[in-house]
Amino acid sequence: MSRPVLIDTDPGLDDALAIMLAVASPELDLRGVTSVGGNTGLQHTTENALRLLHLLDRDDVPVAAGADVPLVRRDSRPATEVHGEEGMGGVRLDPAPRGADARSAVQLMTDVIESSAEPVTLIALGPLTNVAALLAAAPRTAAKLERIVLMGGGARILGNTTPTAEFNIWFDPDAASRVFAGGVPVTMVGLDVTHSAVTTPADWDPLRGGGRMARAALGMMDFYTARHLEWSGNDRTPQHDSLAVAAAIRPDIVTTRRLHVDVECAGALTRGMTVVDLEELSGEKAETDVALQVDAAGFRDLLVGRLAELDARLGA
Amino acid sequence: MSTELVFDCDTGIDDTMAIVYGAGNGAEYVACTVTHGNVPVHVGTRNTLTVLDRLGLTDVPVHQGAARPMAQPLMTAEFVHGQDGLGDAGVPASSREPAGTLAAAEIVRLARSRPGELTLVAVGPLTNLGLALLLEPELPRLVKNVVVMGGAVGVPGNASETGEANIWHDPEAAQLVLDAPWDLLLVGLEITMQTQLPPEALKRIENSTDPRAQFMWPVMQHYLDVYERSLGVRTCVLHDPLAMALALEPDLATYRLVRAAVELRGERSRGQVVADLRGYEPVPEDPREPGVVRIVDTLDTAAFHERFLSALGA
Repeated sequence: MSRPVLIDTDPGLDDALAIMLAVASPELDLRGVTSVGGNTGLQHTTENALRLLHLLDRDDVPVAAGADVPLVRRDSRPATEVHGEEGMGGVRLDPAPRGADARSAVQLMTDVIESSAEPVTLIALGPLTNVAALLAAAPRTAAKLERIVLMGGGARILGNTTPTAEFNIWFDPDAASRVFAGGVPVTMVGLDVTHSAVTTPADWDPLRGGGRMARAALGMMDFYTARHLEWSGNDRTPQHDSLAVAAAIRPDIVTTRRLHVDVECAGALTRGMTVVDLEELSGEKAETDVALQVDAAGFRDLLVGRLAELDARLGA
Repeated sequence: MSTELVFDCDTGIDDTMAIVYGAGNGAEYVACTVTHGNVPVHVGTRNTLTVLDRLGLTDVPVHQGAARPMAQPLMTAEFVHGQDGLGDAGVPASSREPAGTLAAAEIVRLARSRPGELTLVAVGPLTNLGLALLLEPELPRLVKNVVVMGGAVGVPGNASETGEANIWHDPEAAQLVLDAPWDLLLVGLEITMQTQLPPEALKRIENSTDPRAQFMWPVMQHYLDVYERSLGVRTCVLHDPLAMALALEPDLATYRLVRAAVELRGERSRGQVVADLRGYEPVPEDPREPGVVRIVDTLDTAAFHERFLSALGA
């Protein structure tokens, strides 16, 4: 049985692999992709989404452009040092035969959610600007979502962009705050689990000698690994966004605890930190399923195995 | 071997344990200075006198200090320490007078009088130390080192989701202390929460005929009640005694240096000690660099517990 999903994304290298995983997985029925500014600017993330879907023979999936800037903050900066200026780590993908959908991201999300017989799962892989806009503009539609599975934040492992903040939440903390308090069930796939969901270059061996998709994926991983090696000293790269998709495919791949999550929007040192009430001190209602453990081997097998299968289907 | 130290406290049940620990393990109390914190400062001052006198340390001067935090209202924690701060166990109060009521100035005076010799051990909110730093900018050069019970690095807080009580009760003072160019060991919840006393240790205290154990046992009951409610087992953790232990015997633990600062502006995280644990930057090498602190990496908990029990005669 295939579950209808929307992906909101800022591709982005790990986003690209996550989109490949979603397309490769029969458990998910990808109904639409919305782009957001984050890892790089909106112009690139939209174009990258279109080109990726073309690479995957999925020009049928509508792509709509969303927000380029955060709701409030004016000092957020893209992560081009991680993903390259254009977001694909220097990998050149063939242009898509189409442009973005004429609809806005919020409109596309609304249309997909309202027209689906089954409740839609929204997988959010970038800053949460579009998702917050959906919650604000179309609350009754958003309430029909099955769930939001988001990559972002951390409970015990707090930060990558700053010592206490993960990039997606840091980039638009106000949007994230709105999403955690939005009343839609949320699964938070944060650094606590994505830092364990790592791949080494050798893990990608099944893709070597493959077709065009495999070559693109390996090119992206080479860039991602080289950058990661530079500042962390190791070649085990966290597959942040793919893990969020994997958690939508197989929820039991992560172990979650239901906890209250808030976002620090005002801190000088802690802007964009997810404040996860692990000790249940706040007296606030626990409403977010926070992923605290991951079946890392199962995840790796799923990711690499599915991508190899898809590449074989797509051919040279 | 003895260590000359000034003990800044907000006595308090675990402060009491720390004083007893120090008395039995080589602390030479040059003075005790008292701050608001677990209880109002006049209560903490009285308790400090009471505990010292019980141990026969009737000549250790006690100086009352800050009555409130620098930039926020006073908040106390009688629900943890009892209305009288000593577990409401009916401990008779000392009638000794405090030696003074200007704790911060006394810290400065003592440091100036024996430059480079004193260890400051602070187990309450850091208001007195912060004030002392304001009075004497050279203070970091005038003391040997500083050991603070405070912070929660990489673990949840106890006063808020992210804030440990001592830092959370006076974040501005804490930031002055973290940023000062001295050798500062921050003994936080990331390590103190690993010091739960096992049932056999409690049994030894209960069964001991030593007057120190017989004093401590009834005072501890309130504290054990509190931890039993939160942890589900009858135990307690030894926050303040651990700071004392590591001031007296640094070899009980291994350490690492991190860059840290206190969040002062957050809506949900004011009072959080923010340390950079990402490993992206080179590890700092000099604990005296402003903003660099020591935190505990590993602790010999069994040895620490033995010294605690021996200080109680248990």
